Amino acid sequence: MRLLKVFGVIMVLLLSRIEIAQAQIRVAGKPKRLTPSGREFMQPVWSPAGEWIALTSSGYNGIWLVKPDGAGLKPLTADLAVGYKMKWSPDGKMLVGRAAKFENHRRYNAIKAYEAATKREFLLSDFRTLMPGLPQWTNGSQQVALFSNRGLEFFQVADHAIGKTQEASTRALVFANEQGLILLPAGAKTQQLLQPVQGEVVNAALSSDGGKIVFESLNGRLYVCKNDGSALLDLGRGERPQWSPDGGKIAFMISSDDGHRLLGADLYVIRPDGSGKINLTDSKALFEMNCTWSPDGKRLAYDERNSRAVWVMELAE
Amino acid sequence: MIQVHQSRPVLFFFLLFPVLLFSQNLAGLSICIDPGHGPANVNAGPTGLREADINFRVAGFLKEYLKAAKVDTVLLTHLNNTTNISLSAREQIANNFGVTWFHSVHHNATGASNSTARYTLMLLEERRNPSQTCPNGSASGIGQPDWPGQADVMSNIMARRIWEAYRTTNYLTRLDWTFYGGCNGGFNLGVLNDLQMPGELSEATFHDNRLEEAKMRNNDFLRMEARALAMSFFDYFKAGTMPTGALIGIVSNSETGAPLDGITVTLNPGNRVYTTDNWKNGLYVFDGLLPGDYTISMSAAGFRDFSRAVKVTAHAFSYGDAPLIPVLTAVGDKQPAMPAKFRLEQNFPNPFYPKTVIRYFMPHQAQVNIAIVDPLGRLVRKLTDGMVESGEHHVQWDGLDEKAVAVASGIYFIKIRSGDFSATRKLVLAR
Repeated sequence: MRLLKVFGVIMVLLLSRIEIAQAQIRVAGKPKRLTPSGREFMQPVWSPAGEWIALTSSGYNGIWLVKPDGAGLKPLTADLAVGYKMKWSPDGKMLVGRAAKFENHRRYNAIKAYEAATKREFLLSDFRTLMPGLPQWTNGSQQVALFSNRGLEFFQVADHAIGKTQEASTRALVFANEQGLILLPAGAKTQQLLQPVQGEVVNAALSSDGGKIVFESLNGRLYVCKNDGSALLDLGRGERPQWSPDGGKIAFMISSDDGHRLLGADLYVIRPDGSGKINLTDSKALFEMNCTWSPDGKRLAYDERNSRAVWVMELAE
Repeated sequence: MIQVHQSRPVLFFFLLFPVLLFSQNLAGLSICIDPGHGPANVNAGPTGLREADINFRVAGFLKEYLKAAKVDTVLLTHLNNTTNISLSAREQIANNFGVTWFHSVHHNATGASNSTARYTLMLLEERRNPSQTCPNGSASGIGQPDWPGQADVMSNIMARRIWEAYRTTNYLTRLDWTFYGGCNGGFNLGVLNDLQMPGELSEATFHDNRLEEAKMRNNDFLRMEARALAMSFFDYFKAGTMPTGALIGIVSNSETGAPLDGITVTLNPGNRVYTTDNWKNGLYVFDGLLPGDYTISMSAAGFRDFSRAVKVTAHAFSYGDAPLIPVLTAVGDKQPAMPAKFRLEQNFPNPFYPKTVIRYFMPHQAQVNIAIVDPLGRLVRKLTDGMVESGEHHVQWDGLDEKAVAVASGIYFIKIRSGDFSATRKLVLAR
């Protein structure tokens, strides 16, 4: 009996050490400010090749590009609302977003793609008063998909390309809407509805191997499930999750408010099995939000509400 | 417990609603309505009516009006009032959908135990300039809205419409950062901060004012706030007008001013009836009325029979307050007092442009002369000259003279004369 107790204690200690070893991600040094003072930037998105970070400004108006060391800040487009959940193409050469224009007090939305090097613009869809969805890249860097009130649509990126194509996506995609998770498996032309939790979900994302989905419920909790909706795991409070490039971690933010004003926001990292949760920022005076991983998983770019600037932090394990 | 007041007029209204209410419509729009707060917010009035519940009901009624007006999509940021939704999630719902417009429904509080405040406040996001900082290093506001020409225009329309519906004392539109203190702790409202479309937040009136709270327990009254907001969308988007109007009144004891419960009001033509609820607000509401002349009448034990003519205008609120006169209880009792004296109230808004409203009260039917004069006493415009019934009345001045020519900006006076009574108020026209 005594031997069993000793064995148990040793096992607990060993497991704890493994846990500690896995969880030792930390911020190395002080975060570096990427964007100049006197201007407002937010919602950074790191390019897959790592050489650019895309930014937007107040109201998600316009897209700018800046290098990860803060050099080379340049505008890409001034289109309205286009910076909201903009996405880099897998080859890192283009960005796609939903651009808006206001005419006679009406709002019109269209899917547009922008070439980072040349600033060439591609209008992929017609302008519509109703476009309740956001685009995602499907096959390489030549096609985007949109799931909206018109169902699933594909658009080819090419000159004078307004209109749909019929190609299936070569990789799995996930969308979130008021019904639940909309999964489009690789190679499929029709989507599946997954409802691992009741009610509307937002900010769904597939892990890099396509095996898991992280998403956020409207009551501010993060969940992870398999790509068929099974094995649901509640990760606790969290918003706007981002998979690390290797799928081993999820970065996210937790904000608090009093119904009128934002009271605080910090960035966290957690493993998808729910372990190793740590607060990366843990500051009351600063409101760190909206993070994005570098392709090597060693840095996070994010915006900070008080400075209205984008920052980069180095991570170490 | 919240009393859900049921009445025949409401049923009648819903039967007519799709047919009568909107001859033109708001197709092509998508609107996100945010009922402010949630179950975690315990902010409540003197008798326990929670702000979150008021907000949720108004938002639901607004959705009904907007759907009837053919708005393509009306989103609510939350579909039940049992889940707490962060400000971050609220704006994401609007942003994900890419709606045309965002509106957050709130009601105000002073924090006092027995507030008497009852004004309408609209708040919109103030643009900040990171290159101009406050002493504490935060970005300063620039005194301009984040969606100039849109959110500010809509806010001004909504402020006036809610004021008309609720007859609050006045209405204000303010930029959030400056309103909340500017460099001394000012902040942008979290729910407006990251929107990718114009939006604003309404604080229609004060739920910690006991009388206002009593009125807001009545769903038909809250519908008038929703109607005011819906009318604002018609106005802003130049989508025509609602072909019907609404009539709102308060039944009260003319001697004490106390609102009267359980009084049945009959409206003709149409023979529609409404019984005031038990929340001591005296309210009655008739919605979906075709424009025209109507008569309200009521009989109540202990009071003289009452009737008055009311004029209903399309796309507008009309008022038919009913100060009931107590009957004599025995021979020799003194005559009951009339509902106060002659009274001329200050015009609102003031300064004004393009028009202002002047309210006055008559204790009995009498000949009344109301006119606008300049500082030298010269007649500018006659507004009323004839017999006027007892009760509350409104006149409006649009800044035009007797020849319908616009007069210059400046100071003018409104003069009322009725028998021995006369009064004057100063008006400022600021074009």
